[in-house]
Amino acid sequence: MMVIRPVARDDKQALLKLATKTGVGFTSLPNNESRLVERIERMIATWDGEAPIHDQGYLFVLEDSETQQVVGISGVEVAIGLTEPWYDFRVGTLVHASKELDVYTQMPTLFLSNDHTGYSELCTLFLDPDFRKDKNGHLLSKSRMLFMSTFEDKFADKLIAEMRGVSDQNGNSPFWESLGRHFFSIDFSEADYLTGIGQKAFIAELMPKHPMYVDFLTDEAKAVIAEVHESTLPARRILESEGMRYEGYIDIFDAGPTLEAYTKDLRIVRENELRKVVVSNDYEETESTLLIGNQSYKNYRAIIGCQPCNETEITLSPQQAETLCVGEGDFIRVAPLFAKERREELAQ
Amino acid sequence: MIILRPVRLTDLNNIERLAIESGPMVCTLPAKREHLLRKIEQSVNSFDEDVFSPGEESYFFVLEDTTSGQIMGTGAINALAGYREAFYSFRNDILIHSSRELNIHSRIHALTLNHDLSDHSQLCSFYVDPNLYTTRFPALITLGRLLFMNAFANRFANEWMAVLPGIADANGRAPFWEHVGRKFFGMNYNQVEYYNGTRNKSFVAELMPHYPLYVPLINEEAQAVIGQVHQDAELQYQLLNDQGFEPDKYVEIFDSGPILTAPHNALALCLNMKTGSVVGKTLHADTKQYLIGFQAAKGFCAFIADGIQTEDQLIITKELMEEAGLRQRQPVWFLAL
Repeated sequence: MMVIRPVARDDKQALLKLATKTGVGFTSLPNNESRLVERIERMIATWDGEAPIHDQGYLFVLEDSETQQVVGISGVEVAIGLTEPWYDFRVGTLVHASKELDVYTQMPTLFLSNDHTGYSELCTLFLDPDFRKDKNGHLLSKSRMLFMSTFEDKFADKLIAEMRGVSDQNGNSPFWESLGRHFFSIDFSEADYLTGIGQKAFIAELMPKHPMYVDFLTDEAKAVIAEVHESTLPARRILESEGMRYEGYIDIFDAGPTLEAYTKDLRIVRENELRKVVVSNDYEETESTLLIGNQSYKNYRAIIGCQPCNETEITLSPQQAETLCVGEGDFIRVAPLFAKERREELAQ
Repeated sequence: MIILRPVRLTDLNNIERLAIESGPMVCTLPAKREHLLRKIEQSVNSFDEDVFSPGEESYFFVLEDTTSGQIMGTGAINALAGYREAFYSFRNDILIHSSRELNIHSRIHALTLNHDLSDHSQLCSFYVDPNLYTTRFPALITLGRLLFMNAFANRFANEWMAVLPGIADANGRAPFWEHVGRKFFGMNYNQVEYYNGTRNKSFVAELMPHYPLYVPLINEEAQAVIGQVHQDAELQYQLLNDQGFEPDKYVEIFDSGPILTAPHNALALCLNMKTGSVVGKTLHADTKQYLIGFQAAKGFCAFIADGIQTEDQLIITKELMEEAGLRQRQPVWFLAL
């Protein structure tokens, strides 16, 4: 059974191994041991209630409960941009018009912004390619939202997720080549690595502070604004089906879109409900997959299952109950794993 | 002889012909009769007025062949480049992008729209018959105007400037316009230059980019011509540059041609100009070329002649003196060339 749980110190080796599979453009899980240890410690301090707000973050791992193999990782930062500036480009519009000359032009323009300061951020989603099946990706991504809903007051009202932008196999980003490259002479992959190890603000200091007209970029660069890397498409779809939207903000290096939402508007947050646990082996699986999470802050667990569920109760197998660290009569949070449209699609 | 003198209303037809010949490159000399008439009238009024500080005056000179009465060239001065409406240019800015942590210190060239030059006096409407390119008469138009400005310094600002045409091909395609202005205006270069010469300048504020343009992001073809002068204006560029005008700080907003600027009192002409009286007699060897300016009945005139300088006198041939309309011992401003 696949289960989500908080990251632990023992996960270090497994995560370093995962990091080697991510490739360029995945900045938040760099293949750098000391950074990783630091990250894990910061997460543990958060769970222990010892981290200040600007350091708080949660990291979950996806584990196969039988083999104890860690195959995926997903995270949430509580409040971004409180120690160093958080940068985005806002893709805005400037209109240049003259009645006298009968000219009217709309110019898409990039504005460097810190608009997302203090927002929570979904980050660090990575699933071992061998395990990209059986709805694991959905479990990995959406269990964070169930956690946020369960411990609502620990997070900001608004949430973003930065999506990896377009780059080729050699790690070249057309947007970077057209823009960032001019402002300093390092490769995108290096900028990307520096970002991952927390040097993004340093790099951003070198970026253009004045608004920039999109028309001055190359066609290749224009074409990738707010587009995601093809390997990130599934992640984007998942977040969009949960109510997150591109609202005109992009990454300053690769132009990947930033998706945003009010936390309370996320589908999982709106649709999850409390159910009382009934432990039994005597049930038949239903057609609808449920995301199921316990209510323990420090021993958080989440799984998926096609459990029978009525207005008040949900039936779990003994193994499921054990995995979730709950017993008969405990309350757990339950939400349909898929949005309604998607459920209908699957039913057909 | 060929003389630089203030324009008269009767010159209108001649000037209109020159304006057509000059083409769209000299946007301050648009081939529009009504506009030219206004320009001439304004000049006549400006010369007539008693001026204590520069304002809306505009002084328009023509190069005349006194024997045939032909007009061979033009040159004007706006006392203030932006008196009624702002004078726009791009300023060459260097933006420093620096990070000590990453050991990077980049200097990024940017063009910033501004109207800093509005309070400069502006040399404009320069045009000379192409047959005269290799003669000293283009210098007469340019230096003659500077002599006038220096002699009547209270009519002008302390900072002077001239806009020179940038790179454009014979079909009126200007690379800088294609990659910059066109994005905002959606029209051809010739057309915008025509508007620029004839319309209220508020369209510039309405349409041009208000944020600095990062030069590295501009198409390379356009980058290559920033601050480059059109070959037809190289002579003019050289004349001004020799006097001490510098091209580094500003470029024109449509074709990115150089804008030369100088503080009045740093110009070679201002340092070397002499005042004295003219004497006409027979000249022998050892003459030098002089630019000579004087106050005639028709206004300030200038010409170039061979002469000899003795203390506060300039000696030229009697014939030339009379042809120019000068009396013996009439006060003149002069400069050895």
